[in-house]
Amino acid sequence: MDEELSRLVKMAVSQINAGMVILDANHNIVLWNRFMQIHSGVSEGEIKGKNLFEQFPELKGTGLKKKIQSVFLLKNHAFTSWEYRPHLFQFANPHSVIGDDKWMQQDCTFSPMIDETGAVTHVCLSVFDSTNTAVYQKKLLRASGSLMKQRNKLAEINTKLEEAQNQLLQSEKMAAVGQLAAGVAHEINNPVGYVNSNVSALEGYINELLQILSAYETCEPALDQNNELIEALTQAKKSVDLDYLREDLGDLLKESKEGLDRVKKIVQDLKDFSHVDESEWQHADLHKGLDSTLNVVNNEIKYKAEVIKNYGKIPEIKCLSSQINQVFMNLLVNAAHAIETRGTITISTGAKDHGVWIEVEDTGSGISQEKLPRIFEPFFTTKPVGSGTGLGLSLSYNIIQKHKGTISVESEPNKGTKFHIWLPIDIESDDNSDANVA
Amino acid sequence: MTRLKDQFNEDRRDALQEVVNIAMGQAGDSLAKLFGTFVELSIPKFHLCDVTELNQVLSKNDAYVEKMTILRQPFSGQLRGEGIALFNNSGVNELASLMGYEGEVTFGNEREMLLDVCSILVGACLNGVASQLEISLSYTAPTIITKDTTIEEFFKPESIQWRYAMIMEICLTLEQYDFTSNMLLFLSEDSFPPLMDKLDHMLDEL
Repeated sequence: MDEELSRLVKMAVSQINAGMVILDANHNIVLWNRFMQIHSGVSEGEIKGKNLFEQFPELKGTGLKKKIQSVFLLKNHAFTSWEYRPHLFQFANPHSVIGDDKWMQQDCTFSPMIDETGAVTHVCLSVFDSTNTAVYQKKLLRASGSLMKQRNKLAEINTKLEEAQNQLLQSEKMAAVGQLAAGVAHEINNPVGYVNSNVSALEGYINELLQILSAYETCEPALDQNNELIEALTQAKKSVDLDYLREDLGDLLKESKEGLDRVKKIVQDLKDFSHVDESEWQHADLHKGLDSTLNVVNNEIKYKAEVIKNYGKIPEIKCLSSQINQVFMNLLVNAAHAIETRGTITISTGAKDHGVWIEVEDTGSGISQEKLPRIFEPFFTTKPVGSGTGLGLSLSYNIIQKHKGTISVESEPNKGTKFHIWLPIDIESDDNSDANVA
Repeated sequence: MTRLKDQFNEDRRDALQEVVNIAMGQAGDSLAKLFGTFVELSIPKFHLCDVTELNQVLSKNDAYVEKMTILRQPFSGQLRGEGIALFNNSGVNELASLMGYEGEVTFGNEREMLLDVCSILVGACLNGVASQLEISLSYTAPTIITKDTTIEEFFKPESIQWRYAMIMEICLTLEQYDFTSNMLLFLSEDSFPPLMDKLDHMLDEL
């Protein structure tokens, strides 16, 4: 029976679908089973008694000797895994028809062979073909890698969508403000119109009345027989201070007309600024836009800063002027907010590289180097909670981008900030349809 | 739990400590021969604990606050459990030459080397215990569980299957190489009865 068992064990070692190699303490090969013979193409007879590291010199210096030593010394099990060492023996991939790895991927185990005294006499090396697992594992890794990529992409798109939505909200708000302004302007325009014409008519009437009064006055000497009448006239003139009245009437009318002109100007600026009815790309004079914006935000600025205009000679550019005005307004209001007590805001313009540049420079508190790269991000604000939405500059940035222009910033804390905008004279016509959307 | 603690009485604890100390002595010798350098193995500490107490028990060791590479090697047979080896990611290059890896340390051979060290440590410690208790153990290939994790993040009670376990803590230091590895041997609850039997058997023979 023992003989039969031994025959079966031998047969099993030979037939098992895994490589089996037995090594002695000098790394000489004692057993080389059928699996090893088939895949290596070397028969047991050829290799038996030969040193493993001489037969397979590529195994030298790869930590294998230590592994085997640890098995001898510690009665340990040692392993190699295809994940970190794809193969110990370079055998062709048995999945030769469909498969993407050239070599068989192997998991190997080094086990101690212990005699009856408890000493390790040999090491048994088993080699398992893990090519299938490896192929699936690699596929899975690739799949999960691309899933991860897609996930990240989606997350990015999501963030962009959120930003876009917020900007949309902000620009709708601005549009609503613009409409309101235009409405108010229109409503004021009517009364201002008739007050203006009435004042003009009034001026004429008063002049005529004064002429008649002068005519009467020339008749006064004819009344010298009647002292009582002369006395009454002189008294009446004195009581109304006729000379002063004459003088002041002119001034009052002049001032009223000036006031009306100012109201008309403001109304016109409000209309220019909002451009509610002009959502189309048109050629516009940026100086006009700057001036009307300055008038609209005059209240924010006048107590804080002196405005210096260094306007150069610039051509008209094709733009959405109401949106460009929004950018100017943002920059001007920010500049005013940055100035704590009193400073200057310098607006400079010029032409360069088939475009126009505009600079808004303030002598305010400046922006620190850490914050500077973030100021165009949505919701980023240095203003106290509640006073800034953090959307102004990001909106400006997007408007300038839509115009295929650039916006950049330089700043030094406690010295001031300078925004530089460049806009092309005419953005490529084929992009206009896209730009028109927002 | 209290039942287990009762079972693990002073006699049995002493016997196990003795067995483990002998095993560590042998392991230290073998490891010194293998690495060709002086190896310091700490005297093993035992904890018998509920999974919820795990981090509390382990956090007493300062080394566990750092981020580490964590590997595990399962073993089975009459004693069942896992050896968890913790490396603090220093001294890896020196270790590579010590382990017979030549040339530049690549991703693959750094990982394999850590796996080697894990199975060497687990094997060295457990084989000594097993042979004294006349137990036969079988080992499954070790795997890397995680890189750059602290013990606390790793041992979340909800991610552990068993409720109670015996933990043996051993620290290996290669002073010359600035290399330290902590090892935790977890024995599962069902390994207790056979272990107690074996210890009693040993005590009877004294």
